Amino acid sequence: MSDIVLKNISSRFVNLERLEINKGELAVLVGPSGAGKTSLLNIIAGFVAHRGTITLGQKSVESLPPFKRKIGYLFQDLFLFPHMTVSQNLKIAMKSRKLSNGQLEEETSRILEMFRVSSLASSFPNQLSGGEKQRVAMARAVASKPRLLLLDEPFSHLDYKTARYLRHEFKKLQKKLNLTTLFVTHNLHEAQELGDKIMVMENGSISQTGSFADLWLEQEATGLSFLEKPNLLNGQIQRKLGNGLVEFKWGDKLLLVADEGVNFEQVIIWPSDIHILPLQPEGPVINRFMGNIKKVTTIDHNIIIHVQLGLNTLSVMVESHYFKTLGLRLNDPVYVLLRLWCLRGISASTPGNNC
Amino acid sequence: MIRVFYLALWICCLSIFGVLLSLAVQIDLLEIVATLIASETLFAVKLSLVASVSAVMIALILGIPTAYILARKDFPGKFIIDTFLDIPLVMTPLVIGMGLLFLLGPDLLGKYLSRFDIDFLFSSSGAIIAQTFIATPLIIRSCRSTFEEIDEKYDWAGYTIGLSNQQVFMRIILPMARNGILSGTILAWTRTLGEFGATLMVAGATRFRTETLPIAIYLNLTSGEIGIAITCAWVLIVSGFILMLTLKWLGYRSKATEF
Repeated sequence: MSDIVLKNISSRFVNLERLEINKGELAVLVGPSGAGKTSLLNIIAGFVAHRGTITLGQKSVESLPPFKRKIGYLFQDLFLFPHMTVSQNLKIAMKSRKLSNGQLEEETSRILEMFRVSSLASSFPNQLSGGEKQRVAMARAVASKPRLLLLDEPFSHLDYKTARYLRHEFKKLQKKLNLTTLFVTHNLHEAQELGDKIMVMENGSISQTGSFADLWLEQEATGLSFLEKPNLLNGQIQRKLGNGLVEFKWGDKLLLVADEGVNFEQVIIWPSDIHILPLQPEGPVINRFMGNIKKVTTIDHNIIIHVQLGLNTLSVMVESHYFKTLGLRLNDPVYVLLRLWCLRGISASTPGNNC
Repeated sequence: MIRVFYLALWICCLSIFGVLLSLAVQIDLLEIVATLIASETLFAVKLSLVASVSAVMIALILGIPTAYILARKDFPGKFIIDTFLDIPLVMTPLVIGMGLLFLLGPDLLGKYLSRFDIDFLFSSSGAIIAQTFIATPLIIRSCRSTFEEIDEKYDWAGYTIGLSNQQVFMRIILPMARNGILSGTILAWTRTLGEFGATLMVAGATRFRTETLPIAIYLNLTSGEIGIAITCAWVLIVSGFILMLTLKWLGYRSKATEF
């Protein structure tokens, strides 16, 4: 049953017929810059004047001021209160819950523990790392017990590894708390990892809705040039190795992929999960190939390197500063390493991802 | 070219030093101590403190909400009102005092105030009103720029955790603006301590009645009592210097502990 329903929403940047999110669902809104994603979140939170109705748990909230809507919001820049400690940031978020002093202390400890920031309770925000700030901001957003949680690209300022780890943690907590969530990103990889449902927003309205498989793998969604697209490697299983791995023939290359227990004809790997080096790396040669740089493009602040591997091509994403460090040019020989645990066989069912 | 700039710097410093030195050589230390504990000097110090502190408090009560509205809200005619509030900053205090004199006089507000036995003119309360008028625009300017520096999303973050407008202002914005408000307060206090023109027009210059430090300097200088005049001048110079030092220290501290 739908927990939040938006109908005929119109404002300067948004023109939306209908949007529904079910109770406990994590809906991801993807779209290019300027599509109206943040404007839509601001409308839902009550910060932007608009026409149309917003129903939250059968209750119409569009005429309520933001502080009465019970909608949590994790901003891109977090906005932790700098004059308060981590613990105080959480306590002030629980003010509207009218807890006794004892309950307040107990609940603060519980949430600090849940987000693994107990050791930071008496630190001020300017003493925290990027990842720690993110955890505290998430904890604060959850501390007020919102009916709906809005997140506006909260992991975009973090390095790839930290962002990936926090996404994983967030997804677990969101399911544990059964918290209806709308998550904005322009990263399809993030959308795939997090979203129960993905909505594509373009020019202020939702153009496509569905699971990652519906949107990308089955329909090959069009017009999504702003997104980091996964590498879909077509081929077939050559043989089972019996140690939880299979040999997958991809063009003229052989890949080792985890045995899914079912047959599959496609393997998915995200460009950001492929390692690229100008020199031959040491160590095992599993899923390591040599190729040449065919094309270089950009997405946001990242570089997409298209590598020709014999008959096959592969997209590899690196941060622009790393690309500069590598000093790579067109046609340069490179080594690519497809991390085993990031390769996932895809059959007809919806793909998940270990990365 | 830098040498020329250094020359300009030295000329600025030397001119101030020259003024201070000329005040210092007029009176010896013993006379300063003697005049410092004179009843007239003590009265002037006390009245100056009471009037300036009261004026700054009233200016804060009026100025902080005004500054917040100007920084955060849009409304029709905001540009005109914003400029209008700056008028006291560009008016000479003498003209402000003259305006207040007529406003509080028997032909306008004074007519109604006298029914309640309230008379601000030629009394110490008149000095407070005149100084409030001088202090308020300074507080508004300083607080407004501080509020503008605080991203409005902090307000939003407060609302999304269920805090009301009042709670957001009192618990989040005001504490975050504390350094800016304190700087504005010190600036306004320094200015009101030395205020002369408007106070003279509204409160008059009566010994042991409306005698603030600048009024005491004026009264004693015109009657040839150089000792008290110079002592009062040194009280103003030293207190002003301490306040400005505090202001600069606050500026450095807020930079060092920038959020």
